[in-house]
Amino acid sequence: MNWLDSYAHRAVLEAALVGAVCGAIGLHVLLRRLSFFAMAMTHATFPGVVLATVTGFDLYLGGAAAGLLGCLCVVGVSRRRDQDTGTATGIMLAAGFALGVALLSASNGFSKNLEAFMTGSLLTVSDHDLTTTAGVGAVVLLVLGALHKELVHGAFDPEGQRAAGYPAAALELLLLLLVEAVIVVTTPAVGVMLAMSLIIGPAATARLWTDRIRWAVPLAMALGVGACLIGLELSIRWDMAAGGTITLVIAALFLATLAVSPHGIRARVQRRLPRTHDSVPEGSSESVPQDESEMTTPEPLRLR
Amino acid sequence: MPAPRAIPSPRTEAGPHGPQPAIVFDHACLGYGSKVVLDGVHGSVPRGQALALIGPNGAGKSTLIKSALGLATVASGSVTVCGRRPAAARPHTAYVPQADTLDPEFPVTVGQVVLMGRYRAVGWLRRPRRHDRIIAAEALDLVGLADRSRDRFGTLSGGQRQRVLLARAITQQAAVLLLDEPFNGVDAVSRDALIGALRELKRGGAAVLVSTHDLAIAHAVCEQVCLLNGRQFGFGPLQSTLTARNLRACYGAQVLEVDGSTVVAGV
Repeated sequence: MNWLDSYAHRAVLEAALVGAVCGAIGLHVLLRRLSFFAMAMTHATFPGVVLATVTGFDLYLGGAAAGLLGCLCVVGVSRRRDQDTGTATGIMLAAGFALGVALLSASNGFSKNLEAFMTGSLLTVSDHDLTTTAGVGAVVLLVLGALHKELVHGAFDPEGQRAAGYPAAALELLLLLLVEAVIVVTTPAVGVMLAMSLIIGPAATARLWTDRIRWAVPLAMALGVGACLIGLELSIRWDMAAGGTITLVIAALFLATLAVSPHGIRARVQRRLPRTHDSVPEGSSESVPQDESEMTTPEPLRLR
Repeated sequence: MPAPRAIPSPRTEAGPHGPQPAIVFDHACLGYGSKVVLDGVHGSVPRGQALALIGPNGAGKSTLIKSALGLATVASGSVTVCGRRPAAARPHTAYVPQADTLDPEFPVTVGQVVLMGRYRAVGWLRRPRRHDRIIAAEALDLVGLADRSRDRFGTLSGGQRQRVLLARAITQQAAVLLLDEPFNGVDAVSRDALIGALRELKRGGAAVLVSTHDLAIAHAVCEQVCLLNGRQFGFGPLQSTLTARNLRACYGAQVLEVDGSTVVAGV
């Protein structure tokens, strides 16, 4: 008997794949502070997935098309100076979700229920789901690896990257496309609503443990895989929805890290005393030996 | 292999663009899209010299810098950098943004930030090599922060961060350096380090454009000054351009002489 014939084995493999890919892309989402934007993308993907299923169209292509459309809407609306991205994103988030619900309720007698789209069903993933996740995941990881230095550069200093002659906007768009691809392949496993937690959670947890991107990427991937497998195991043992359990495990990991990690709450409280040192006027911690008289030079003449 | 030098070797000198000024503004009208921000910019900066951009907030100093990077629209006239149009000259220009526009929480070390200046030279799909790391280390040394390489960028003071960004620009070994308000909120030590590094760069043959509110900075590093406020109010040598009359016209404010220095009082 093939190892993959068992639904449990397929679920384990899918959970591991999804966890790894989400962890890797999640770090870039965090670095560019796109969490809310990614959240809106998941919600915009929702109606596409519903429509695709109802009409018998490919679920992945339908979801991707809807997500991209939503992406363009936000970018288009937020381009106007008087609209801030947060507002546009919020409106799109609600609208996308509402459209999905409306479509679903309009398709009377349709067998697949709302829950399957929202929270996924890891235990019923097909071979097609598995190969798609593996294929798309490999492409995403390959692109992230190949363009790592450019993506980090653009996240840190988009203006400087543009000035250096890089196509900074195209790079950001490419990243959004990768995020959308990850959301779509994650949907059958954990659903559109919970895909978000898988993307943000492990990456945010990894960020609390390390300040080095070099370590944060593998750590986020490992945390993603770990959370998915633990969540899957618990869901089978306690007979709960896998998507929900995985998300709870991710949240628990994050909260526990927040409490004990080097950048978490406890560390921050402990550092509070020496930290006040930082707010002393700059120059005090300068590495260059300084002349006493320098500090007493009067303020330079300034134009206001 | 000859030892890499952080200070740009005057590589454009031997090239076809050698004898020309590094930057030429020819009656340039600058803006973004169809919106005009700055009009009548006319002047040039030779290699090895610095130009101070002086004017009130919103005067168009940043726009002028962006135009030299090919990131602003030239509505009429022209901007020429190293003999080319600005967008085509990007391999020869290095931009130093204001340090406080960058996220201090970003998980990146000082050394990594400086190395970013080498990314263009390294190329897509490649990792920086030893040669690039040596150039980055030398540049960091030049701004006096060699011992902070492994620290997180955000843990440095504002002035130190500004020096790191200058070091990043130095590694690009560019013929033209463009600095946007590098002295804002910078302490005396960092200020002196920045001035020292800029002088060193000029000695290496680089042309420098620096926007500032600080007339003392202009006197310390610049040969020329460009007075701006929506349009050009003067472009030329410091002594003949930074006159009380020009400043009054530019700022629309009272201009005083204090101990031989010019001060603009209350706008």
